[in-house]
Amino acid sequence: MNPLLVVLFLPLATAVFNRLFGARLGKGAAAGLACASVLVAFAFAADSVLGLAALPAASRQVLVHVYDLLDLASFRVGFDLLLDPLSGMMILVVTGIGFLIHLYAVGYMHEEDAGEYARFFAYVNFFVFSMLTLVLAANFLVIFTGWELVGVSSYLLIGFYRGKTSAADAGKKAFIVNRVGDFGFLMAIFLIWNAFGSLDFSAVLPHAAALSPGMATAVGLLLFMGAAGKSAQGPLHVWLPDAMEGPTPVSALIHAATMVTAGVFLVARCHAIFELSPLALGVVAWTGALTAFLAATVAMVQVDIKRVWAYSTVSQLGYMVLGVGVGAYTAGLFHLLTHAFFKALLFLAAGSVMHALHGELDMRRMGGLWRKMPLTCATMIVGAACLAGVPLTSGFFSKDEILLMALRGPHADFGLWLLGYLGAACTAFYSGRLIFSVFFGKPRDHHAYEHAHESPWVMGLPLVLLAVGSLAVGLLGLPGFLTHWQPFTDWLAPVFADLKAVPEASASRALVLGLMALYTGTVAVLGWIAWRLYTGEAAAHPADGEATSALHRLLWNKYFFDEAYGFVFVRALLGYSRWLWRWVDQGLVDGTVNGVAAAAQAAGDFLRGRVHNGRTRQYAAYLAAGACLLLGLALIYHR
Amino acid sequence: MGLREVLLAVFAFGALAFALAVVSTRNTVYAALEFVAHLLCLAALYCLLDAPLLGVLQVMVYAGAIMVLFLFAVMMLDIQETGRESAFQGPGQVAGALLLAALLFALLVFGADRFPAAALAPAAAPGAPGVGADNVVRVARALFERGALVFEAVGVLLLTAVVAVMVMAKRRLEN
Amino acid sequence: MNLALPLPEYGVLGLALVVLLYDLVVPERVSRRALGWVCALGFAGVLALLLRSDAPQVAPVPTAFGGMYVADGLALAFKTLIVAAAMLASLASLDYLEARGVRWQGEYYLLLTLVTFALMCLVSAGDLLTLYVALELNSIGFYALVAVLKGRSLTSSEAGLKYLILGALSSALLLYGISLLYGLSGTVSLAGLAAWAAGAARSPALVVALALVAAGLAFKMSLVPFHMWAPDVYQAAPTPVTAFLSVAGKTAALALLVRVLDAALGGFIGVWDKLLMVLMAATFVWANLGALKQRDAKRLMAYSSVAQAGYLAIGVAAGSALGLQAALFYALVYVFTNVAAFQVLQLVAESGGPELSGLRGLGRRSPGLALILAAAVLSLAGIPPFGGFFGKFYLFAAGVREGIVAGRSWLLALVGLAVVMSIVSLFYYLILVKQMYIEPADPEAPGTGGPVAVPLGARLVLGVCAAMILWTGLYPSPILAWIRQALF
Repeated sequence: MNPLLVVLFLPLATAVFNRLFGARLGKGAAAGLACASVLVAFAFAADSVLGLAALPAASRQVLVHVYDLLDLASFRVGFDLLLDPLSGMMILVVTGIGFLIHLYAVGYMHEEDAGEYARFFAYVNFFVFSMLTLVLAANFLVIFTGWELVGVSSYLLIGFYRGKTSAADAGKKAFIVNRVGDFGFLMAIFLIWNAFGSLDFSAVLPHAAALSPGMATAVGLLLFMGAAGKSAQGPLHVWLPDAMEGPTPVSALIHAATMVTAGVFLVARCHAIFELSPLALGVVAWTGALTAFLAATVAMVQVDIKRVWAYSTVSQLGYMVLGVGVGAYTAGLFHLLTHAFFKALLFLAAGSVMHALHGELDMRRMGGLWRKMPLTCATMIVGAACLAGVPLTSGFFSKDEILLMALRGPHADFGLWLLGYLGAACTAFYSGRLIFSVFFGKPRDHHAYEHAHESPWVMGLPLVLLAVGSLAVGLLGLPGFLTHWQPFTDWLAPVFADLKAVPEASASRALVLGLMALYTGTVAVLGWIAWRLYTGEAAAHPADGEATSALHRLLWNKYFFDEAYGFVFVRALLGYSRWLWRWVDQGLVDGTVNGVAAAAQAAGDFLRGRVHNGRTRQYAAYLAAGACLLLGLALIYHR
Repeated sequence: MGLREVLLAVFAFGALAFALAVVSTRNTVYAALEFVAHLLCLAALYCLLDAPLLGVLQVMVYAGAIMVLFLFAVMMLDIQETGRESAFQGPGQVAGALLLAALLFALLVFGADRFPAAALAPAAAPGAPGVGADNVVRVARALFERGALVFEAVGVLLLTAVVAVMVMAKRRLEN
Repeated sequence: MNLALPLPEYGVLGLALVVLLYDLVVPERVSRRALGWVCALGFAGVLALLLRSDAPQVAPVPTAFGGMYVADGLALAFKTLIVAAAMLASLASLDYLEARGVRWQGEYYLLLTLVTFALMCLVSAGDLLTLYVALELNSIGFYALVAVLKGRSLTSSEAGLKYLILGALSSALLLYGISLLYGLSGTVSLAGLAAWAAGAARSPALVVALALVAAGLAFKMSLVPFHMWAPDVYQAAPTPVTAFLSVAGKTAALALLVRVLDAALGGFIGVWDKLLMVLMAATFVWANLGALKQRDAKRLMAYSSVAQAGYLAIGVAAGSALGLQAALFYALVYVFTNVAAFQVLQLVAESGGPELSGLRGLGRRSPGLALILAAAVLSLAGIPPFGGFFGKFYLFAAGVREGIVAGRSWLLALVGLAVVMSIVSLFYYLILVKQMYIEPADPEAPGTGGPVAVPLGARLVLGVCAAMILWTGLYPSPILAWIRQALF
């Protein structure tokens, strides 16, 4: 049996088992089973990837046919898995970081009762299975199935806490906004099928050049619509900050490290199509740059630490999208990899703080916590340094590469670089602001401070491992002028072999060094400002809703995106629906049957044959009107 | 316009008028009698359209047997008058209903009025023109050969209708 | 003439006779509950017969009664679905009727078998005459089935009457359309119509005839604005009848649309496809938005069924072989999904009442039931790994393909609208999920304490449906092979 099948189906099997019997097994067994399955999956994934690495570079593609899904006359699609350097990297990230997060959750979720505990691990394992389906897919149908399944598991996990209405609403919002994106993805799939008569990557992507320019643009834009929904790119980003209602390990795993990167993965996977259309690539790049900048500005004023990281995630995803949008796929994917480490770390550390403070998330009530929880503090500083792009951390190298490509890459544009640069400056500021407000200065809420405590080792160990990983992973992609040892670029090279010349050469060493100096200086200056502002006695946090300026209000309200959506879509939809319900259904046609009481009241009328006959007459009138409409239309159209 | 056309028009309007009378009369017995008249007009139409057998069957089966049964049931169950209230709530509804009916009627007439005369030709083409005994034979053949399934289905339909009526209307007897 | 051809129909008629005799012979005081088992077994036998018979694979399909009865693969496939639905409906009815002490149980099962017979004749109709008689037969049966709770529920008999009156009106429209068609073509045989339609000229009379036929069929299919009866009837009818009506009735209506519009009048696709698409667009918008504000679970599912009818019609509007396959596959998924949903709602309503709030806390009380209902509604919403996902995928793919290949941009726009509205549909399907899993149970409400009782009949229904929902979603290949063979 192929090891890939174990990687894929073991988490599914434990998910089903835990859902059915986990509550009876007890907490230890349920959690142990869940963690073990992901660890074993990681081992098999590593084995598969090593096997792949042993092949010659040009033939690093393994296709596994599980069974036939569809077999229509003109059209055959299998449940096929594809292991290539791209999906190999992704399965390692999903199972590796997934395992650490599972381990962390063992401690974090400990207060839930056995049934809920087993349910949580069942859902998380199911998510791992869904995500693996997505990244291992060898055709568009399987990738779309995985795409939808991660949406389902995300919905289940965001709304995990029963009885919490805000969580349920957040889950629904996430699901539905994602479906809006899926609309584009699905239409793109139909167009692809129509153009190629197949959905297999191997039959579509190498022959993408057969698409007409208009069709390539349409397919690219529709695909990107799906990618933007999943990867929370503006304006479809609104679901991600709300998704933080779920348990913190979920935020780390799904809404930071893995699921949200699916959009970036999709664009990288389908780069052959995007490369055909400068317009589609331009849209991708500009969306990414704008999202990177705007979300970073919003993150500067949030006071809920998980929300800061949520907007930060939106912003960092913007960088990845910017990277793939300017044709620097390797750089975008490298940032995906480093971000998976440090953002998972940051979320888990935030969860550790939240755990210590009994659910408190407002940074205005924290301060000075480094004395109480040194490990959490140290690891979170590492994560924040990576995020801010402190020199020599992984985030520094990966973000640097993307910005360089925005300035000098195959589809470079100065505006893109400027937005990215400003966003990076904001990132340095909000990272510093959060760290300094939470861990330094004087405690602002003494009661909470007194009760704070360091988290248990099952939570601490993943933090340490992720912190080490966050620092070490940068070594895989050091800048080209430093060393010729480029494992990350070399690994992915077969996937992007179809692209034209690697444009590294166009940037002189002086430019690269100059830019690095500029970033370093920026990070230092903004970090210092944040230190000055947020460690003093009266830290510069305004109270809720109290805006110091119009700009602050704009940022505090997240550019009013939710309000705009609420107004335009939800209100209009519900308004129409309510109108339909009240006036047509209730008033005009028939509402009495809605309740037994009303029906009983109307019963007398019915026996006298009046009221209800009247209503039936209304139905008849609709019928007749419908017939008139049809006849009229037909006669007008076919005169 | 010959006598035939005049008679067609007379019976057609008669059928229509009696049908309207059936639904607007409150006394059930009168309504039943008006229904008989409506069926007789239809029978006349069939005869005028060269389908005398159908006309005869219509009189025998519908206007005769079924309607007698119907009247019998009505009288036995002692159904008096149905509700006295106006069927419509306000003049707006009356106007609306009339308008809608007129519109539908106009559209239907508009379509039927432009009936292509050429299309009628193939209908009579296969087989000899049916008259007299031949007509009976053809109806019999249609009923017992091609239409056997439909004939049986109609039998099932009647059974279903009997059961359905029992379920839906046996209110009084139940209490 | 091959008299043995309608063997499945004879089987169902025989079953009806058995039911009739049983009801006659067995003393009145003995419960008629056993009849539910008799019907279920009888339908299972017919189902086995249907599944064992092979669809004809060569061009002149076998016919009987001078072409008035057609035994092609389309009929075979749709009959299989209808008989399966009838079997599930009998199983779902046993305890439902018994619990309510319904007086008319013997008649109920008799009507159920007769309606099934009618639906089977309907999908085998090779002639407008057979079609019309079968249509009336099934309608009359359904009027009575809807009203069978008479005396227990006032709305039930009212809904039956409403359905009767509106059904008669729609039949009149259809009949007038049929007579115009006969006048124009000189034939009522569907094969004859197809031959005539290939060369006939368009005229206003033809356009009127097509519009009337479309209106009559749209009523059976419950497309907006001919759907007005559906929410009332679905809500008031006994739940097993609602389930049967919503799946078998709709499936047969789909077969009718395929036979009449695609097969017989395919030559005029340029005329009727616009009409159908206007109805479908209205259906997508109206039904999906109307469902959002419903508080009664069955009424919500009624709006959902109206919307699903619209999706099914995409296959007909496409008119291509792929479209038909997709529509048949989706119908198959829809049968089992909808029956499962109604079965769970029926069981929950026994203790929690018909309102949506009766579902609260079901995830804890009866996790199995909650899981099946969640799977069913997610399947209806088109979420993998359930059958509805593949069904919608095919339907939309078939629509897009036909739209591009034949240059029918209207069809493309319609599919786009369908996809958008299926996103909206997620809103109300998730309302059900949210009630079960997230809303806390109201401790004051009656009957929300322990797990919901699931009798044996319902267990069987749920087992079959759940298995089919998963099978169609995870491994649809053999089912598609069966469908392709049927539609060759």
